[in-house]
Amino acid sequence: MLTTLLIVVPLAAALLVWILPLSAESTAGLALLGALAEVGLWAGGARNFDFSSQEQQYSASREWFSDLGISYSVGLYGFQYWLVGLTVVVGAAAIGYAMWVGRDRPRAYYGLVLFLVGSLVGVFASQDLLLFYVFFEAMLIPIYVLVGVWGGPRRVKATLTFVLYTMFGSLLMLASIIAFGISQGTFELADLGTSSNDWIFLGFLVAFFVKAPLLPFHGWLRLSYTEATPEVAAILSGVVSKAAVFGLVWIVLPHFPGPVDDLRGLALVLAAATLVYGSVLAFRQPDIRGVIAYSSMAQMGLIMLGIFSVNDLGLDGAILHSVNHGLVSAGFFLVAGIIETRFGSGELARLGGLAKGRPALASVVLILGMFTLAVPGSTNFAGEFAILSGVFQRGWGYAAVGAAAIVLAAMYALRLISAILHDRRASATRESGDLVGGELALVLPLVAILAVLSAWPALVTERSFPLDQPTSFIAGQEQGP
Amino acid sequence: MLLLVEAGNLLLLLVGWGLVGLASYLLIGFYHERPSAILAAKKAFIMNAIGDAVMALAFFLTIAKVGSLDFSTVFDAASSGVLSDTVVTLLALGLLGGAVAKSAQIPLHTWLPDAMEGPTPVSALIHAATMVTAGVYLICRTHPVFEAAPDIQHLAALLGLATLLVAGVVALVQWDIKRVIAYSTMSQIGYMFLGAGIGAYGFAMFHLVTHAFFKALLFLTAGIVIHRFSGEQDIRKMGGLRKELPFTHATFLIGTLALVAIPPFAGFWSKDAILASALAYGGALGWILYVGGLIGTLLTGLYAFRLYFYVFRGEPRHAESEAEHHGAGEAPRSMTLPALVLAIGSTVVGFLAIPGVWEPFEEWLEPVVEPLVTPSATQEWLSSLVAVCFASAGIYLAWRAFRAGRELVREGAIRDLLEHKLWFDELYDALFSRPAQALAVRLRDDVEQPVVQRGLDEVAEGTLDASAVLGRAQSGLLRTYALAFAVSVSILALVFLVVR
Repeated sequence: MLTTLLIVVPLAAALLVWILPLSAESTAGLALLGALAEVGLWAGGARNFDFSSQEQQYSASREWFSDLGISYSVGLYGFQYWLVGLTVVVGAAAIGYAMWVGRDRPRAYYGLVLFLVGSLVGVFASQDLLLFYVFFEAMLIPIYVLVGVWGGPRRVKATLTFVLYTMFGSLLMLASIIAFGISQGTFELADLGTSSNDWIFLGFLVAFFVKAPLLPFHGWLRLSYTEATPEVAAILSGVVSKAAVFGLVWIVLPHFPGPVDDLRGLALVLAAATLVYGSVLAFRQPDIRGVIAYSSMAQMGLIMLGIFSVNDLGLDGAILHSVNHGLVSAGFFLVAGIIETRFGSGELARLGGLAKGRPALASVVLILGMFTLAVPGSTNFAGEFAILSGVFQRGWGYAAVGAAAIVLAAMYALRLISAILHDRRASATRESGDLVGGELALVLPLVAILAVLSAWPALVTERSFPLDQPTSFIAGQEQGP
Repeated sequence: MLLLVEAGNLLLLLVGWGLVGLASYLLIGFYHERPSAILAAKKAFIMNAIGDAVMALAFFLTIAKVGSLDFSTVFDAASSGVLSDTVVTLLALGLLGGAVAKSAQIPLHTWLPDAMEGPTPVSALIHAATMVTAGVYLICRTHPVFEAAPDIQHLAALLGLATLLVAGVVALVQWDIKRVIAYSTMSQIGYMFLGAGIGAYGFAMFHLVTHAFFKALLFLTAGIVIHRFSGEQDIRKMGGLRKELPFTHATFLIGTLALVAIPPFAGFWSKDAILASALAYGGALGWILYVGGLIGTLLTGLYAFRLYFYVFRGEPRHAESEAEHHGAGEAPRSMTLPALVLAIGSTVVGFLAIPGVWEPFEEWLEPVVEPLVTPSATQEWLSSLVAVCFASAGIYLAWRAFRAGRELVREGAIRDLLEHKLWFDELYDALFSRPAQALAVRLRDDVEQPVVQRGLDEVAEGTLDASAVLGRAQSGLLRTYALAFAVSVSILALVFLVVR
């Protein structure tokens, strides 16, 4: 029941915001209220969530098309609960940010953002393949519009590339879903068995690799992350990319053990290449969002390394790092937006010297930067360490590449910090003051959650999969409950 | 730092390890409006990140092979021979990599002199007394691993020797008061590595403790001197401070004597114990280390007293009006009191290990680290005698050069080499920094831009064009629609007939 509620509340709020003829302020207020209610719902649900249970929780199932074996089936395991939590928190921060900046045509804007949040929750909670596809597509529509209408100067091109890439991925996935579901006579994830069909497997794989994105499929990333409004970019990189994590962990790994085994090497090589490629490119981007975009890409490569190591350490690490990266990159995109608004530019050449007289801004940038480079002791470090020690068992070369990426991450993160905070005081550094209460209220909760996770990463890692045994849990899944 | 020292497993140690690195980065960059400070901070962090990464790799290996990062479990596995030689060697190598980066030993040493951009008390605390010596602690703490991989342990000793010699000669030509002290720190940590590398863990740790006292003392008194000159750090512009700052002069001298290892000051007891251990270790390695270490004491005497003479003796060389003065006379008590405490420490801590008479320090460490070598009292006293002779020779030469107004190293190729710190910075710049940046730029401009992004543009424009063409078909003219309909139907009919 709660799962359905978590999906319905943002959708209902979206409808309400869109229909009610309220003023801009009231619309924003209502949207924020909806988002916060969603967070409250999630937090309340967490208290009753039995993380040790083998069973799916808060599940609901209703026949939809009985002829085709399609049903509305939702439910949550631990790792899904964390991904949903990430969604609602980042969603609320994004709406708060939009409220602070102010957007044109607020009713449509907030309606779409809430719709996006609702669809994302749906993606992470689906237990039926076709339902997953429906939500997966539903989440893309608001993104197209949000980027295409409210985006930056090159928004049309950004939207177009995004549409092309995602359509390509989605169509392949749809073909795979239909082929897989028809061949098995059901679309219910729990009832689906395993398949050794490489083509069906590849359809899913490519769709998720586009979403992540992994190396040859990343062409949409730069423009979308730069041209979208900062809060949409925050949701894109922080949450939407995690749809790939969910899909791989919950659809590909359990149902395609054979093909995963055969093609694991390829996936790991792509992931490692993405990690290095993203890190190296992040090191020479001319603007804040460019650095975060490619850093996001690198982090997704790292998460993929964890997933495709298919062992307990790697999977636990991948889930933890998904949450970490979601919070950090969302926080960083919001900060980038704040800086762009205040100083009129996100180009590093026009920034610099912002630390002087702005202790709050300096602290926030520094803290987020340290999380980005995964300083030992941070939750990002815990995730990274788990992933790399997991993938080490698949081959030391991958871990060596990962270790090299630690150094690369330090290089680009420190460069970003220095370019914003230190260096010379450049032209764009107008006399604009420190962060004010509203801005801090947006970023500090994210930082606070990161701090809690740093102190206690096991909160997520030990509570992602029943009995804390991801591999056996996933392997046992294809027989059905 | 306390987390680092008190950690009961390698992972927690790595967390503390990283956090002190973070603190160091932030504190070096404390004067964040100075570009050189920010550069130095970044350099320190990245050098240490390399060490951390190497260490993390060793930990991954440990997890894969041992299944735990707990000290006792890992040590049992290492010493019982469960692990293959390769694994233990790699593990030791990884740990050594981390230790070398943190403790600024060759080849990851270049960050420490630059780290002197930080405030002087910071240099005293983390870049002299505590954090940089963490590498020595690590080797001593994980000694069973190193004992199982003797080659790597010897490598540690040799790296220590190389560092103490290189740092010693480079210190001879430095003009910045803090950099001289920084190089002396590198060189003293070199002694500690040397000691740890031959299994004289107790003495290495002992030197760590005494060094903490006299090096912090030197930094704090140097801070007083710098304060006196309103931030000036060039020793060519100092001089004759002996009369003006008598207390600072006395404490600085104590620190210098302790550094040079003149009895009865603390450095004497600890450094000579390490040298005696090298003598007792014997063999070719032992002799190389011993002789190298002796040359090191000579160098220490030279550069330490060169510094002392420049700053405190001779005539004042600074040209400034009295008005610029930070108030003539001794520094305020808040600055002198810590120096006094440290000076007392630098004098008496050495007595914790008087060879053959009273050696409580080693007994304290005995339960955890059994030393591999224990020099006899005779060896210790004999070696000490030789070492003191070398150190005194160094002092004497420094004094003669100072009297004659000569530099210790004449102009020429060698001096050039030393002033460029043996070209390490330039070498790394050319080998790693530049290629990495060039690679990033190449990837951005030659791969990402033209192939990925521009290819996309073409696809996107193609789509737009196509849709424009298709859009034109939507003309609204009934005639056209009818024609299109007729043509399509006839084509379909044709196809149908042919296929059938």
